[in-house]
Amino acid sequence: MSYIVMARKWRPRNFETLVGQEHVVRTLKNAIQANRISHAYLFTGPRGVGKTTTARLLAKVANCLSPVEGEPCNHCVRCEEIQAGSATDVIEIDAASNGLVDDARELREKVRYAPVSCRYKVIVIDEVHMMSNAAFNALLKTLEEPPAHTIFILATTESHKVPATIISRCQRFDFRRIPEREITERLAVMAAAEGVSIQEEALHVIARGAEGSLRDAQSLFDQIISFSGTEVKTEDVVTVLGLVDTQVFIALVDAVTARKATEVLRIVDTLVNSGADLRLFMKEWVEYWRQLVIARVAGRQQGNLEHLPSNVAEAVERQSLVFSLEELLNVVKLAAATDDELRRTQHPRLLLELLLLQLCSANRLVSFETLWGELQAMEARVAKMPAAVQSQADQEGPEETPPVAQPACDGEENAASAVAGEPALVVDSLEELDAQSYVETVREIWPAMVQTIGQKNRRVQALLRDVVITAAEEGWVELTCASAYHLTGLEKEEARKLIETVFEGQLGKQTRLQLKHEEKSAPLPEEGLPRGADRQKEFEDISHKEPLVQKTLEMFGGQIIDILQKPSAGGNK
Amino acid sequence: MPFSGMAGQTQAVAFLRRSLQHGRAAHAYLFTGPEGVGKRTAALSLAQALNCPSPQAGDACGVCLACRKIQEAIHPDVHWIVPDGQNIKIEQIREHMQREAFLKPLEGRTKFFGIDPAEALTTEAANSLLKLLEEPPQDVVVVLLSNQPFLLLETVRSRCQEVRFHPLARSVLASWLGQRLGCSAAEAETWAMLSGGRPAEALRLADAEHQELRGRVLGMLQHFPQEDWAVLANRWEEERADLGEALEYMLTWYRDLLVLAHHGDPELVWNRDQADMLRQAVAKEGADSLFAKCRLLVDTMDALKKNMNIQLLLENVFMQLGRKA
Repeated sequence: MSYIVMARKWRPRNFETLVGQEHVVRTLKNAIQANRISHAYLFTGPRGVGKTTTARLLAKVANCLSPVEGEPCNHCVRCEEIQAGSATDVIEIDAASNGLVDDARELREKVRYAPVSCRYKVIVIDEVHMMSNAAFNALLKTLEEPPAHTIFILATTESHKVPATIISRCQRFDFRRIPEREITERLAVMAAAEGVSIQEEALHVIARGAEGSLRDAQSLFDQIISFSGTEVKTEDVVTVLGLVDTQVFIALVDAVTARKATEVLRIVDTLVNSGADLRLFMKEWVEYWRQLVIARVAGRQQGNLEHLPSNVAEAVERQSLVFSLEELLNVVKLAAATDDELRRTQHPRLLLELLLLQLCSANRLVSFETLWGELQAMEARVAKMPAAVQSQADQEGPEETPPVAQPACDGEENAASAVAGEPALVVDSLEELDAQSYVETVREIWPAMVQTIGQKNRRVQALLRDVVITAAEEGWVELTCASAYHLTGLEKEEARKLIETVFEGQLGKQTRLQLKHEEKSAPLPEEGLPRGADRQKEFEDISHKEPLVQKTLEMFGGQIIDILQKPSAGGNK
Repeated sequence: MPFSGMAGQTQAVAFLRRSLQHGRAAHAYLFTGPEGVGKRTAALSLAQALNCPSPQAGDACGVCLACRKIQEAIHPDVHWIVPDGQNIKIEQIREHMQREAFLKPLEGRTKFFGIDPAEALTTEAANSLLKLLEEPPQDVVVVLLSNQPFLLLETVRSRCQEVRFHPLARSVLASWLGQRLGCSAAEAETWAMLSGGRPAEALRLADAEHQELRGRVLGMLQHFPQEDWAVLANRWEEERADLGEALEYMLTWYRDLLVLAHHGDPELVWNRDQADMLRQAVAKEGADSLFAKCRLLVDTMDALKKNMNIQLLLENVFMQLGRKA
């Protein structure tokens, strides 16, 4: 029962079968052919991309009796010795277990003697990052000027742990992650040789799961063959890898788009009960959204979705168009944050549900984060408000307060009004289209409203007789009166309150009034400085009655000393 | 205990058994999954199956001398490497593994090494395993167990075949609990859900002491806030030891309310035994506010692990939980 795992069995025996490291192979082959083998090499790169393999190949080709164009012959005595690991002159050291200074000293001793049978004495130091500092330093001299016929090969995944003095004495080769395509091709060759029939798609899934490491891919492949024998289906791969069927993501994104919280929760429940690993799920969920981002940015033409099965590619394309790029990026960001949290929690399911519900209930998926940011910024401003208002009032008199006091009043009424303010913050094109029809709606119900107001207050009804609705949006209505007299009357707290209440009753929404009078009779305050004493007087009256000003006075107990008009700032205060 | 005696984990068990049957047992496995779902039991079963003189269909008999010795942890070829103090140190690996691995098995067929938990390996120890994991001597099987596999070196993970252990499905765990404890179906399901599908955790939660704590926390939430936030914060600060658990109960409560507020299926509720209370409470609050509270609790539990000022944290929590929606 001495079974040898595939990664070992399929370790390349010549440079040709080494996958994905052409830049390294070419340099080494040329060096060998030109007989310019350096005395020290450093191989770095991620796990499972071929560092140790290349080191062994180099040892073999350097000692091979009849190398062919930089490739070992694999038939001569030396090649066979080295392959079997019995060559006395090829020493492989595991620095992680033998990385102390004494080991380095011992190595120095060994290097001193000429090779017994081979041409070169090859010392492969694997996992070299685990050598102690003292050990590294003990090797410095040897590494710089080793005896002739010695080749040092250092291999590591963490080159940053190797001292610069060591690196500078070696020829350094950076191994790359292996592209998915090359992994797939290699796996197909292995499958054929092992007599395993495997679906094309299954190979892709394995390759993707390996994240650029051929050893990972081979381990997975091995595992899958153990699981399903000689007939491998994509479902088996998905099961062994604990992956989630892509259809689940498609369904989930559809449910989120449709705001079907119930459906979302049900999917999560099924997922958990089917034994899916939620941490893994999250990773793939982020990956799926990444596909959507790619589809959104580049579209299908560029062949970005080529590696997906056609039905998935269609779904990705369809779903990517539902969102804006900003939305997609926001979702990816949120999901990545949750992915991070999932690692620490005892309740991964709960966090996942929170994330999905957040996505479902976000007003517009697009701007949820932006909106949230704005809201918080606003809350922060409101929180700071009283202090700011106070100090300003001390210095410049209360007239400066209205522009800043405006949000203070919003915040005052409690969080609800801040939330109600939301739509105003994010008026998007859709709502602008609606605005026109909204005015019409308000105009339609206007006569009935005037009636209702009349039942409560005749005077106000009279004042409203010549009023025209000039503009309206959700939560905001602009009324234009015939004259300044009417305006003054309507500006009174009592009248304004009454009208606003009736609006709220009719429209089912808190509504803010904006009053002005027709421009013919007198220019609007924001249009310039007041002309003459009359205008000033009138303006002061209005200002005194302005609820904002009154509220400010009431809150801070100040008094109005002077009234100035800001030429640029709006508002008739 | 042979594989056949394991609760749940059908997939992992099937995979291991098939590998044994096909004679394709790998030399390095990584068993991952939450605490208390059966990783250790499965590793033990694997050790038995690898050494039992008369295995059937990839499973040990469980009654022979070898099987019993392994069960009792006195088999000379089965080694468990556990933390010495906080960590598993490189000396332990050198002493118990690297020398031992190169010797022939004494009684059985396979030298088995279980490293439990693998994330306890120091960096040095983990690195010293690399060569052994990649190209071990014949007849050696190493199993690493971990509930936080992402803490392991990538180089270690890449050398192992990962076998995933999952939380048990609600129905499976609930019926198991029902048999074992003789409790009502609603209670069993509640514990199954609250434990996140982990049998050991569910048993712990069903304990009287934890029940009392949960009752107290849920009682407090049902009539929240009866007391001032400062008083509550003070009281819970004194019960520091139970705080983490209490926060979890609070979180599950608000999570359930959130699910109901979104018109989720009542089947999805975790606090199954509190169904009526939840139904009453959900009318009082909007989904947005519930969501904010869940988020608050998640963040608080996170902060608690980071050694924050507990008093401040608690004041913040109770102040915000008490806020009217």
